[in-house]
Amino acid sequence: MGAGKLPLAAASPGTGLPALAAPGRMSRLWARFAQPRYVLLWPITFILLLITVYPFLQALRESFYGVTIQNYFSAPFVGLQNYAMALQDQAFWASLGTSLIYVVGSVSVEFLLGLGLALLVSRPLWGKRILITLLIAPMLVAPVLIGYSFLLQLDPLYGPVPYWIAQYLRFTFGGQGPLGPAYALPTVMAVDIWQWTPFMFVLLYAGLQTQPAEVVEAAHVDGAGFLRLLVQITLPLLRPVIAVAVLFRTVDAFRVFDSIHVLTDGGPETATTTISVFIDHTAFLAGNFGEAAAVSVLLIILVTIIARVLVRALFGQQIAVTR
Amino acid sequence: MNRIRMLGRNLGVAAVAFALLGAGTLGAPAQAATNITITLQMWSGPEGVAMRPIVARWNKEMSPGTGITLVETEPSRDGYDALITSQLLSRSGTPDIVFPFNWDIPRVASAGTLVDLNPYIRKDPGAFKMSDFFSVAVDAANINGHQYDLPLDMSLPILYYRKDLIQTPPATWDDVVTMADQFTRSRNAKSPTLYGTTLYGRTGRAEPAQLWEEIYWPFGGELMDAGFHSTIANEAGVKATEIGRTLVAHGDVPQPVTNYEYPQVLAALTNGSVAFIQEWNAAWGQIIDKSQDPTYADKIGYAPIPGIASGGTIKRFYHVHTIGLAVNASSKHVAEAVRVLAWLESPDVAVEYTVAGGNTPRKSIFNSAAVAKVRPGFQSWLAQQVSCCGQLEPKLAEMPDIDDLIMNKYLNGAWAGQLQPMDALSKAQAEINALLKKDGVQK
Repeated sequence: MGAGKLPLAAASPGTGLPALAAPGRMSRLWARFAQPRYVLLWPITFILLLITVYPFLQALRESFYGVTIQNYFSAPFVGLQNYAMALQDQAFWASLGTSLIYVVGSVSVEFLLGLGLALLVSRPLWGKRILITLLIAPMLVAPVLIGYSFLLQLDPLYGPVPYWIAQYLRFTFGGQGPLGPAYALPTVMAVDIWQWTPFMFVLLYAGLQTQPAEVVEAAHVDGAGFLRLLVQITLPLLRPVIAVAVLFRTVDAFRVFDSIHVLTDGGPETATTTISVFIDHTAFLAGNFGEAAAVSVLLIILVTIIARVLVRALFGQQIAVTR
Repeated sequence: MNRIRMLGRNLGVAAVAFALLGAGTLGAPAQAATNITITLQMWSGPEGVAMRPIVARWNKEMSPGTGITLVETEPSRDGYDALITSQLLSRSGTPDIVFPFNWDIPRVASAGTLVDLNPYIRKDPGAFKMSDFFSVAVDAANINGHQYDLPLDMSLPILYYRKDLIQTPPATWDDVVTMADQFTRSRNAKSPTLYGTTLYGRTGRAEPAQLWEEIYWPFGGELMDAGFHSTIANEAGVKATEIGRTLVAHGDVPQPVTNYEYPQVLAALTNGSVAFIQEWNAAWGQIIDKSQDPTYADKIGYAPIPGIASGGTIKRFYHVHTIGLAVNASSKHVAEAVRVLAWLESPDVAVEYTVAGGNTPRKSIFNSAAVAKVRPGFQSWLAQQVSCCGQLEPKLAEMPDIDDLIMNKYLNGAWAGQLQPMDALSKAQAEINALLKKDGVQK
């Protein structure tokens, strides 16, 4: 067979001419992705790969070297030593525990509040569009700015939040302030809930709008009350949207860094040191990039496992039906 | 042929797409060969503000003759150390001149990211006038005989107090607790201030450890022995830690202390919430500036840091550190950057920088009429304090880890009452020794 020539198949019926063989899989893929509408995506795809895949590969590489600030350009290969050090480090496990509390606590409350808001706003309401705009405003602001804003609002000397809580709820945070040792973690979680409940709300509200009205009407006709309607009709139909929302927020909550860095930088002591803060401190305060990279890889593995579990748990029925 | 045409067409489309993308992302057109831009990175604070007129002066007076344009950037204080570390390790070449703390120098210099200035100093000593600097300030960035920066600012915590409320500022650390009780409204209903003082406890920063040293050293403590073994878990350490613990337990300081660093501590004094503070000397320019402190500018004075009464005198120590100017070894214009650095650090410019709010540790500053006019007596007083009682920390690459993480964590734990002082110091000492042993520092 000559170079560049396609293999010949049997002659095409009725023509006597040799027919070209069906294009191979690679050829079909090339034909598909070489179309102009895909080619225009090549530059941004290239950039995305550069800013996501390349740093990941670099971090993966660094995790096998004893990289510190001092020896950054001449780090020795240490194999799995960084991983062993991380897994033996009590501070790593403590930060992982803090992250789990943060994720489970924040995402649960965000889901419940977001669902409640979505159900409320789904009813006929005057000024609904304005209300929705106001509700989603917090998630449009950069987390670091939210952090600075709440740093001022929560200050025991000047902040309105501790003042109003003391005035109307007669609660003074034991004199420590909302960011004191006993209250720092719930407070940073509350800030996260304030910012990201709108995300849950938007997705769940959109999901509620697509629910078939006739199913709900039929349930009403059958005498279903609010609770029964919610549990047996609304939530099951909303399951795919819930799955997406919970999955996205869970992954995001594991990565949270900006607002915690500004509010407490992981303190007091290590009360709010989540895994991302631990990585930052290990890299830039302790100067140990190798161990920080290893913890980053472990975090990716952990989040991937959790995401898979969530997908199976939440999308389980859909996947089974599809198969 | 169709496939070749299709490929050619698609490559053409891709080229157009890349070109459109590139047009938006490419930098400014190449500069004229004789015009070089040097980027000077300060940080957000009095130092960055003080540098602005200096940069303007260079661009007006020096730029036409040298062909060097100077650009200043002022990133945030938050994450500043991490920013400089990342910039230097990235070897991007920008910024050309950085403004590092002396405690960051050992580790970034070990990575070869800073230029050793000694060859330039030896070549043109007149441009640098090294003898005019305070030797302790220069020594702070001299690592194994290599001079990695020149000090632009010298920092030491001093006592600022409301002179309209306090006739005699506290001279000893016991006086500090007594006076803090007196000026805390929850303990004294007649107190004109809400709290007596503040405690610098911000998580992830070195200040808690550095200010603690000013209490620890007068009690006779040393941070390390000659073999770099930590020696803080002792009676002196416990006594030093008890001061902060007592202030927190008495409610004499605003909480949580872990949120208090430079801006918060200063604001607590300048808005009348506290009666006195332990704060960096750099704050004096802001305190006496009526545009920044309209209410209390005339009501705040400064005093020596408290110490320990010993044989009829007060034994005190100041933690001293420097923030200097260093040249990025990856800069594409190292010689030009060194030239600019030498000018920025020259005695004449240092006077102008100090008048604008800086604190260059040059002896000639104290003879300057211009400086005396804006800060009568302050600079010469500072020089006396440093000369008599200034002390540096050990110049180890591990100091950021030791101060920012280990000491910060355990001091805050002890101050908050969650750990007993000796327990906290013992744990800190053990972690410090483990770190120094692992890095091969201990002898």
